[in-house]
Amino acid sequence: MSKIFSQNDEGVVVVIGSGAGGGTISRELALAGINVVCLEAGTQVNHIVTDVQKMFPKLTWLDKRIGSGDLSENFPVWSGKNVGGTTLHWTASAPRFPESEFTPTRYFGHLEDCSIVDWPIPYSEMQHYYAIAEKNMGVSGTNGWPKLPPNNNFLVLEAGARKIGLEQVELGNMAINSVSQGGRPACMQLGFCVSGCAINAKWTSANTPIAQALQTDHFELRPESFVLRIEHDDRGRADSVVYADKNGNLQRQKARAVCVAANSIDTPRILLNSDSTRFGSGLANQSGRVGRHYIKHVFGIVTAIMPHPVHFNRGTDNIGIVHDFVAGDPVRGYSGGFKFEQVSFDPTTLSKLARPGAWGSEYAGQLGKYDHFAALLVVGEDPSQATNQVSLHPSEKDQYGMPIPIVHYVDHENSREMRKFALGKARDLYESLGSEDVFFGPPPPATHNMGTCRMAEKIDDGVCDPRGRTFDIPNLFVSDGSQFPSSGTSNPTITIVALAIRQAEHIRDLMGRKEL
Amino acid sequence: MKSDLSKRNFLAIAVQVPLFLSAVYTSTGLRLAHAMATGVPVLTEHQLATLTRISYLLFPYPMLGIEPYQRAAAIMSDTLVNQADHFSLVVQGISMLDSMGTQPWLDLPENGQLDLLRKIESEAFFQWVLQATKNSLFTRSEVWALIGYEGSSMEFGGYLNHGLNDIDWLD
Repeated sequence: MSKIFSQNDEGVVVVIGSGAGGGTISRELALAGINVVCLEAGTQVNHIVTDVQKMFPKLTWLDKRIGSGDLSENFPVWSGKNVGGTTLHWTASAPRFPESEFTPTRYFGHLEDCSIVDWPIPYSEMQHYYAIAEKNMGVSGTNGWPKLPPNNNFLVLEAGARKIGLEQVELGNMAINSVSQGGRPACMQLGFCVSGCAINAKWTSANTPIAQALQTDHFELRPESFVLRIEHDDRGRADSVVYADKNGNLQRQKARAVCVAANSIDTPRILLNSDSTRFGSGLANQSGRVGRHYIKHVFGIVTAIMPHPVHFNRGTDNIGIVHDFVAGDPVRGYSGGFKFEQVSFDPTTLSKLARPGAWGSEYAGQLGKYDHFAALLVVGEDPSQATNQVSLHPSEKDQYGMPIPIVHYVDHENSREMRKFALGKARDLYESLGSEDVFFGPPPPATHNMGTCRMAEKIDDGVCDPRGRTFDIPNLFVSDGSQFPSSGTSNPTITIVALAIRQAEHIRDLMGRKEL
Repeated sequence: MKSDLSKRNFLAIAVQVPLFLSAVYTSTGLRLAHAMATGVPVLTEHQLATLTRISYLLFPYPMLGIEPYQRAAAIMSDTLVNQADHFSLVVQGISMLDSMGTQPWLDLPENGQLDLLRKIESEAFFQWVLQATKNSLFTRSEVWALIGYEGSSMEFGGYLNHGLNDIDWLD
């Protein structure tokens, strides 16, 4: 049974957000006997059904955000708003960053208008935390757990890749149980991975770290608690968090330390909205980099009508990966690398993504071959640009009086060249198998959002130190993907989890030494 | 090879007609009676028929009959009750269509109807109806059966032992 802490308890660590970062750090601290109050903006989702369109409004952050630049104006990013954050929606693809992607200055350093920094963490140290994360998350393909089986969409991807001479095609490591473990059942290959998992075979922050933290005597979860700002004391240390409860009433929770894990849009939004006389440009923003360096991935959606049925809806959405282009080669006309990852869509989403503006008998006929579709997603490395950023709208506010976030993003020229090359290869892949049509959809709203409070060796380059502790406020931590210095080509969740485990150790050590 | 990279057209998942709201189909007579009793604006029979026809021309599957398209129009109408801005958009859009030809749009031959739709396809009205039609039509089980989408697999225990990797035409 969950503990209840007083709002005046100055001894609790307040964690903002219950997704991959917030859920993990809550668990790690609570298991170490440190009292935690986790404030989650969304609700607990108890009933998951196998219907994409019905789950969408239950799992999605639909509070207003404004996109600019290349982004959709009214839906710039795709993140979760529920206990578990975006991990209910995530596909559970759990690759480690390859070592080469911890030093992006080697291949992106020459790009103009970019602000590239390397990861200030030894890769060997990260391997240790990746291993713990894989075990905690039950990642199939690690720790003796078998990989999940291939599905038809994978077999098409694999066959096409081989036909055009690619060699590094594999079933990815997935945080989905291939065998029953961790109190969760083995995957039945239901499909619908992006709509939660109806049987909890997929790891989510809700069904594992949050559930485990709730078993301790050191954790309180407060859903429907929308954080507006963090306040500080006279010494410049964070001392309380102000949030709106489910009735819209403002509440204030005292704090010993604060971990912000509200995803890469709302983490900087909260810090920027926490300005004070002492910190006029927002908390932890001495560098001026809070909200800057917004990175996602260089996405591209490729759908193809194959000559015979595929039934790409069957089974795990995102299991097939092509690695051949991860290692960049400037001869191709761009720097950095990308992956192909298989994807599938329900009919409504397919109708919007394959040819977004199309209609009429021709498009109806194409969608009429739903069972012939195969699809993949291009996932490429995004070079960090300071001008891609999250900022606060100067006048427009939400129902709690908090400024609406503006998310500005423009593709770098390198990304445009990368996408062009990748889409061409994807077309070759499907055409090698006799596809009737290949469609290039626009980049979707990103679920991989990173970089807006990035870590660095020194304050000039970032918001937080190599352990996510903000340079300006010694008891304020960034605990989500906002701290990523670069995007790599990998789905970010397992790296968020590994960093949170590592950060929790650091917080525990600081507290043990009475330094926090 | 077809390619569509227009960001403007990517209203995408963002434009979710709230299907989870009540979408009970009621007859036009009942709608009008309700409107008179409550003052809530509703679409006229002509406007509903126009939306039904547009929905059909957007994604024409003749074998489905007219009912799924009537339903799409009805859901749009129900949605508009709570969206005054979009109500005006739709009413004005239909009025615009009717004024563009030599006769009301519904009375034009199919080619004439398609020509006018192509002329307004960048308009907000058209985009709204397009997204609403997608949201309605492609969530219907009879459409799923027609196009080969299998829907929920929970009922038969998932695809693990039901065709997960049964593809037989690859080399």
